[in-house]
Amino acid sequence: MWHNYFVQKYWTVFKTSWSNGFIYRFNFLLWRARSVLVVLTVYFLWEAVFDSNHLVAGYTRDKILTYVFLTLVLRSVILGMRSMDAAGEIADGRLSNYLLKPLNYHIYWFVRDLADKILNILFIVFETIGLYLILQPPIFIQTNPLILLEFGIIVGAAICLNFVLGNIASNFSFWTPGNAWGFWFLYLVFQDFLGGVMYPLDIFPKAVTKVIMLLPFPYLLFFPANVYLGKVAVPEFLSGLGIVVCWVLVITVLLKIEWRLGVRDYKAEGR
Amino acid sequence: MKKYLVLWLKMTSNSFQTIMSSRVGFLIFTFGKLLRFILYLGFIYFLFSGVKQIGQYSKNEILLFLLTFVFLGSIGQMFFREVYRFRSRIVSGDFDFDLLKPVNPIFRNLFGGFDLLDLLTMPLIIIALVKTLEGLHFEIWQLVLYLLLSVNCLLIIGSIHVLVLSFGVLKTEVDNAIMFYRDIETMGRFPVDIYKQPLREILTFVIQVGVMFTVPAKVLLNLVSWPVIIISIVVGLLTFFFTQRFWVYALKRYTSASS
Repeated sequence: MWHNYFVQKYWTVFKTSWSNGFIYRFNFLLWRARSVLVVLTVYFLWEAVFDSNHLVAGYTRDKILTYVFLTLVLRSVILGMRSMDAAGEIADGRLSNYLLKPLNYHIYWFVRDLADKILNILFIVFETIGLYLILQPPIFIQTNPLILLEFGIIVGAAICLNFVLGNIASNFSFWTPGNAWGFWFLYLVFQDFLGGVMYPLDIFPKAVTKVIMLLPFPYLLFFPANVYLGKVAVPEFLSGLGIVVCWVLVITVLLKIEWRLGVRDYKAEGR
Repeated sequence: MKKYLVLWLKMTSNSFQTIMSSRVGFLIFTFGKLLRFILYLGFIYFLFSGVKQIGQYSKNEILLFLLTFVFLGSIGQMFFREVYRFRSRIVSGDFDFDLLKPVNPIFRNLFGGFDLLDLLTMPLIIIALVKTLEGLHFEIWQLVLYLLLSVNCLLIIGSIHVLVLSFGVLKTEVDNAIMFYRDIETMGRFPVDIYKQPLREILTFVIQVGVMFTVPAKVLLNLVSWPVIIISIVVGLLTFFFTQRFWVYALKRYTSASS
């Protein structure tokens, strides 16, 4: 009985969030256009690099352009999230409305994120076809069912990792309401440079890559992209998945502590 | 003019106090901005450890494009930060109060939130830019033109922010519009030559990223003709003129529905 109520409650949140995407169509279109722009910038930068070079840090033109194109899809699925708005809600006191309701604030945002991701995926199909026709990049279609299964698992894990990391950043608004986006900004910098948004991380010397791979950020884009491309053997995949799961668990515990302390210090400023 | 200067100083002082009221956030933002800047430079240096040039450009030339973009972009963000808060003023009806005051509402909503954080990172950016300029050979007239075209770039950046304010008045949509502009602006981080046609021409003269960031840097490298320089300045002035007209058009349609 209780689980029916639980599912129904969040299903309503999902449907509302989904409908929201269609109400603010201009907003959504701008957001999608922004995602494409980021990829275009990186794509053309690498094309220019390979104009006068055949091999850069062990990568050929085709390999790197495949990677960049793949990140277009992965960025929207893994990194696209609405829950960054939570920082603003905490900062201006709108959180009070949620604290009075019988729902878990984090599950609420996770469900909203899922609705947003599904909406994103629908658009990615058209964007990918459009960009493929215009840019005609080298495309690699993975057909190995085991790799596709691994890819599905690691994408799911990366979504959870991004969610907890993003929420850790948002919750700092409890203590820095005047600068609610500070930690988000820092997180986005880490995503760009250590997550594999701008470049594949194995262009660096091996020792540097090894250190970076101990952090959570490479498992957001770089590792899932490599799994899809078939560059990760099963033992490596399992150890990578283990690292992601460990990070998710550790950060979830930290998130719970942060939330408890935050709600204790919350003053509903602005209300 | 004096009235506006006094007002700007007052608004800037208020903005500083707001930012400083949250010291942790202030430190994190400053750290993030510095880190991003250092990582960008690090990425360029790392890239050039394996290649001799990107497109037709050497390391110093690419750094010139990047630092011109960072320098001018940061000045824009520093002065026009208040635009990012415009939506809440429209939605809450606070914008009505701006219209009642004997001050140009554009001034209040464009310059009202000078960003201390960008000011703090500016010395590092200027030092890096000067160091890069030292490694290039150019005449004094090229430097004068570079500065003139940089002012032209700031005029366009300001005009685009006025355009965003106008959309805010008409559609109450600001956040995505300004971030959309920021993403397009990011395409000027590297010379627009790296983009394929027709995207290159669109970025140069329609969206003006090329006029804003690539043309000034190219003047120093002696890679741009006089007609392009003149067209760039004309484009800047026309953009300023038309965005002012669009602002008046938007104001005439303001319904004050939220207040």
